Amino acid sequence: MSGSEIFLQQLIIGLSNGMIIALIALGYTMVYGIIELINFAHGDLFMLGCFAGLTLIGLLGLDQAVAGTSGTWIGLILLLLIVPIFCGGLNWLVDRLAYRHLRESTKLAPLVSAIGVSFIFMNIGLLWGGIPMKVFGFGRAAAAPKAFPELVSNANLLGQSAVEFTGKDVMVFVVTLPLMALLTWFVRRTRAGKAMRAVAQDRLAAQLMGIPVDRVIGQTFLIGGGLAGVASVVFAVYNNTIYFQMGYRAGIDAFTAAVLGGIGSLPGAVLGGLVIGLARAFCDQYLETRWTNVLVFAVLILVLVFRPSGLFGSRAKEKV
Amino acid sequence: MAARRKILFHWSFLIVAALIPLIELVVPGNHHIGDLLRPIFIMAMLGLGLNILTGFTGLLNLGVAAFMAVGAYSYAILTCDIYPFRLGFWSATLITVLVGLTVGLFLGLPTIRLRGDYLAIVTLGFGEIVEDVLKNLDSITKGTQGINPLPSPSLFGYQFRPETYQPWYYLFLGFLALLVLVNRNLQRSRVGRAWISIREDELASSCMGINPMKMKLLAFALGAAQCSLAGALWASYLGSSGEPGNYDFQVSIIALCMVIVGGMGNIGGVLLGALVITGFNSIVLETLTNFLKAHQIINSSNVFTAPGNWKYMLYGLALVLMMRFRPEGLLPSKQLKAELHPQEPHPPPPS
Amino acid sequence: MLLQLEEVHAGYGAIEVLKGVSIGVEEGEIVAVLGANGAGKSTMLMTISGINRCRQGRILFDGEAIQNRPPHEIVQRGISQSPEGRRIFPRLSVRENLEMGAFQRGHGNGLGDDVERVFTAFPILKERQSQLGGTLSGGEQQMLAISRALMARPKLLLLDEPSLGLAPMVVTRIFNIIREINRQGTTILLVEQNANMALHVAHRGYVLETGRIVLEDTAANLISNEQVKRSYLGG
Repeated sequence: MSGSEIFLQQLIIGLSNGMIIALIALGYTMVYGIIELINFAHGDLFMLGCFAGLTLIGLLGLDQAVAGTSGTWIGLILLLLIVPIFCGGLNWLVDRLAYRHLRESTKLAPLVSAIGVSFIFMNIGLLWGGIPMKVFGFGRAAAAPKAFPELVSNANLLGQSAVEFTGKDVMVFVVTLPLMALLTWFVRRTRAGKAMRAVAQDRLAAQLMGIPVDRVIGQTFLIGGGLAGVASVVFAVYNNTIYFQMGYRAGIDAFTAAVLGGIGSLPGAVLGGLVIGLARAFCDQYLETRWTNVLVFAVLILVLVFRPSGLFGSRAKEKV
Repeated sequence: MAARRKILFHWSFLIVAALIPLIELVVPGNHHIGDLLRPIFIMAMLGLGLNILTGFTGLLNLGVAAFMAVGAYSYAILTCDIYPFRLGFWSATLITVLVGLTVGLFLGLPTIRLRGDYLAIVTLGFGEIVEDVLKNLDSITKGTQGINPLPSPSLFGYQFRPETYQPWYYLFLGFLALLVLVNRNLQRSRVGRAWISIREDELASSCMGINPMKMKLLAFALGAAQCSLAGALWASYLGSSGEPGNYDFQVSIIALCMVIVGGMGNIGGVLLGALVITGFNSIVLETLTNFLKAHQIINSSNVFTAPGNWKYMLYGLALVLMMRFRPEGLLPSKQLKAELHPQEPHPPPPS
Repeated sequence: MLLQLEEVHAGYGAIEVLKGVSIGVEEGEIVAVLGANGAGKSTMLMTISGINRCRQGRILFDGEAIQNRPPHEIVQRGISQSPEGRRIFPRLSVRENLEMGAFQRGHGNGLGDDVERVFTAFPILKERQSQLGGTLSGGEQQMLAISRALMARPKLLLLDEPSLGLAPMVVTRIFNIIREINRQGTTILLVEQNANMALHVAHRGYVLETGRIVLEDTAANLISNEQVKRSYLGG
């Protein structure tokens, strides 16, 4: 592989992973935009989505499926529908049970609660891996990483080229780009989306307008969780390995992306996701893999300390 | 009168704690409560360090394990044969505390101006960076091996040995008692009152002539110093710095659990929290697992029946439920309780 | 009575702000509540709107008890508020701000007509309809805030300090608007520090002092009341 081919390869990997990070980051930024909560459990929600996806694959018998057949495509679409519902519903439920009661308390109380939820989710992920299903290795090694079957072909679409651009990369963009467009339309144009922005900008005024604030916040958790669910499926199909502690790292990457783009800003989260995805890919290639996490954390700290409103744009960012 | 009773109460605690190893020596049988209490003492010191930051001053820190790691590693570097320093216990511990102080200042300086939740994330990131750096700089830190072996300390002419736990027990108990005393005096001092007033209302306290930045920085330095002392003692007992993974995010959260469950800002509460949380981990879970195994109720292949596999769920539930129903903790500090329950029953109607 | 407060107590934490307030508003009236800063005027409106908890006493609207109902239900029943400081959504367009006012009614339901009606009454808002709310001037924001509250088609409109921070000429214009809204059939409960203006548009008035109603009369009588003159009319 020549130097430019290596560069191109990392660019593809970075952009694909960046889009996945962006989907998770959107969930962070939406929730932060509306109630100023760093939803610490968001990464672990994403992890649970991966486990739900693998369970579904086991139930549907998709682990035997061959990539590219119509049955596999239908299975993938089913996954992309059901897992987001699971994640969205779970996120909504957690808000209902844990965070809603803390709206009027100090800001740190819901954050501590979210950390607790993150631990609970992580533990659920550990136990989930112990379910005696074939896809989980019959539950013999609960904590071990699980293989996620190849639902999309790994064949290089660029033919003989040394640079690999596969159906998986195409899938990432085919799923994420329209979804982001849909989300933008939802937030800008629909009544529910406008209500979300109104609640984010001035909760009291929104209440006085008759906007049922708790319901709108619940919807935000639902949508943010749904996006994490889509990210779960796309991630698992793209990377083929899942494990119960993956949520923490994924969550940190995504949160860093959200902060980088100016937390609360939707386009910022996407841009931040791409930056983090690319930074990781290039650090893996040109520096050392073992320093990649340090790089991400260093970026996170530096941005929070020196540009807390994000790298792009001013403080008065559109929230939600 | 009440104060005197409280002091008596505290002394009786100390005496009971001091008697445990002796009782175990006298009463025949193979028990090791004292042995199990040692990690609790260490975690309590960590909790007290965090309490200065989160409990007194209201700064949520999600990376205190990193301070502990700094303590353990600097103690290891100062005492291990493979490095040129080869210091004794007292000087190594003293220098470690100073290193912790410096690291606390170093982290605090750029970050104390941040809003609470951002500060929390920065401290988390700091914790992760420390863990990864310790892992990656293997030429100095020996990577995932950790630095070992460390010589057991020899104090007042007595040579400590890893296999007899009683001397360690008293050493840790002594340090813990010292820290409790220091923290109590800090809390009652001008500094402690300044910390608490910052937690309650930063703006108002700065109007009253308190310099919040200086006070927060002091909290960072002293909190970090205490955590690194806990790390140094732990390393001396382990005979090793431990591996970087021993000081990961989960340890920081366990410390946070202790402070929150016990009662933020209340020293007695933190001690109780350490006992409940760490004790739950190292005594209850372990005993339960052994019991279940001995009676063949569980086998190792079933993940669901092993109590240890539910540990994080219980920690998580503890945080969520405490926040929901008793944010002031089991043993609350009086001020915090008033702050967290603003919805008092309404005053009697005017006549 | 359209709205009736009976011995309402409300407050924050250990501080009781309303110590048994009783007032009534008849259908078709403009009622002004006067009082100094901190007397509890805004607290009273926020308690009616369901934001603050009513700790004791009753709030009757159309004969039904509405105290401690959720705020959105109170808007649905026909009470909307233009809050102190206007609280326009700064990064929503003028049109979107108006749409939010009609949130409880849903889309359709004559929303477009109502927006047009607002634009006819306030051509300046039409001109700025796609501008962000935060970019309007104070007077424009006040018009928007009142229009936004009217978008809910309320039976009772609560106005909190509509003259606050506005130039005298703009204040006159706002009070003309208030009178006009009332003429078209909306009952208004008005809270003001600008007692002179308030009493000139109102039919009746109350004086609130440290959480208690100390005086109640027709607006005309209040204007000539010596105590009111001394304390609130600067005479």
